[in-house]
Amino acid sequence: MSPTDFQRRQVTGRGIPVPGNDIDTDRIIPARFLKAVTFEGMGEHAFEDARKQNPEHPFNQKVYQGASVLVVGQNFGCGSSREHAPQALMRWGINGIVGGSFGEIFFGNCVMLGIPCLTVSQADLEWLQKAIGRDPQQPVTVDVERQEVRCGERVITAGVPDGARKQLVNGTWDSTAVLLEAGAAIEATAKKLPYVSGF
Amino acid sequence: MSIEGGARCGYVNPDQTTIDYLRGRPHAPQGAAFERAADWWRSVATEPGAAFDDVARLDGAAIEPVVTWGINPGMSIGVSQTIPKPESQPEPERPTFREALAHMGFQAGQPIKGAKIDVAFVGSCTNGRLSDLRAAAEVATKGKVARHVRALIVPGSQQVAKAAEAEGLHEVFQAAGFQWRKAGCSMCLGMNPDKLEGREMSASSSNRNFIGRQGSPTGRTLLMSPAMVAAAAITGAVTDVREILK
Repeated sequence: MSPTDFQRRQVTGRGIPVPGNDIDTDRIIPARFLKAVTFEGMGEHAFEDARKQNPEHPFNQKVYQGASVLVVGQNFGCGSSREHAPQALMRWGINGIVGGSFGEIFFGNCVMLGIPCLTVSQADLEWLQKAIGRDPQQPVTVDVERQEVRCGERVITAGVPDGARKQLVNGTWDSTAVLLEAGAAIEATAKKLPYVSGF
Repeated sequence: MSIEGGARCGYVNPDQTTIDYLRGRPHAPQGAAFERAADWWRSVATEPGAAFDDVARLDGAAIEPVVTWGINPGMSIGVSQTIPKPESQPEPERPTFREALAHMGFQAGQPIKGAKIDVAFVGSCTNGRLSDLRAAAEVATKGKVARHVRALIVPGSQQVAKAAEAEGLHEVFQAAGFQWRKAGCSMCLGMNPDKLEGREMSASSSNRNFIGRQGSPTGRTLLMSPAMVAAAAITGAVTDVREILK
């Protein structure tokens, strides 16, 4: 992939609202799936138990299949730090998330997978969820560079911390790749650390 | 548990307690290398007079045993308190409070003490140390597991299991009707067959009470300390362990 393939200036796709606050990572992907050796096929298990409990769950609804912009409530992705949560959402097809606030580690895990998470006000969230419900086919744009979410005629002011924004816009969100490129600096630092060089 | 306070990580300053704990343990530096390591650890501790953005001081002795009643670890109250009313919460918190009451089958205003349990679980990386097992074993000497309760004791590691068995703790638990199990995660998160079934109510010393966390999507979890779990196992309901140890 060329460096431009990694740039996440903006993401556009159909929206899918999952309302409710404090949706934790155990609900996004139940713990039994942590035994999987790879993330392959994880997408079909996103929200598995919540979907079984509630046939009307948005992830079950035909009209939202193929959606790629997830719109959630407050404190989405709180709890366990499992990478499986954003992996499951990504493999289901989610490329961008809009919410009121996010669990700190979930947010970081999303950045490292190149999934922008933007925050908007509660009023704008409610408007956006309703707008998507009225017309699930309309495109929603998550603009990381300009920090806004666009839907129909509306332009909603959104937020994303500077560090994450730069990583997404510049295409340096894959922190493993960034680390690998800094091989010499890593070796120099490691030599100074007693954990590596011995006490 | 710093994560549940919204943190990315937590940090405990290395001090003499840390160093005494690590001395002689497997994987720790040995001999002269240990002394050099201890010097290094002391050197990275926060220096006296350091400035912090915010300081909170908690007096542990003044906190009564705490029990969760809801679907995240923040939904907790003292064992003598009653389950809060959603209306007493800030508006944005109310939907989650209502969801929690519905999932748990509790009424706002009801005391947590006396809530009936089906399963008791002492274990997890958070509360499966030797000192946790000792605390639970002390309670286990005061009675027998209630007939309707399935009670599991799961050491946090194989080292802890060995140390506990050397002290005879496993026999104390077994005599009281607890199952003494192999070390592991067990019922903290339902990755092995140790799971809640249906709407079972669990008294658990693990660290998270999210919906479905203990392996049943409709299962219910009350988080509490290992001693409080042992007390609940014996009485079959949420109990103030201090009354049993009196």
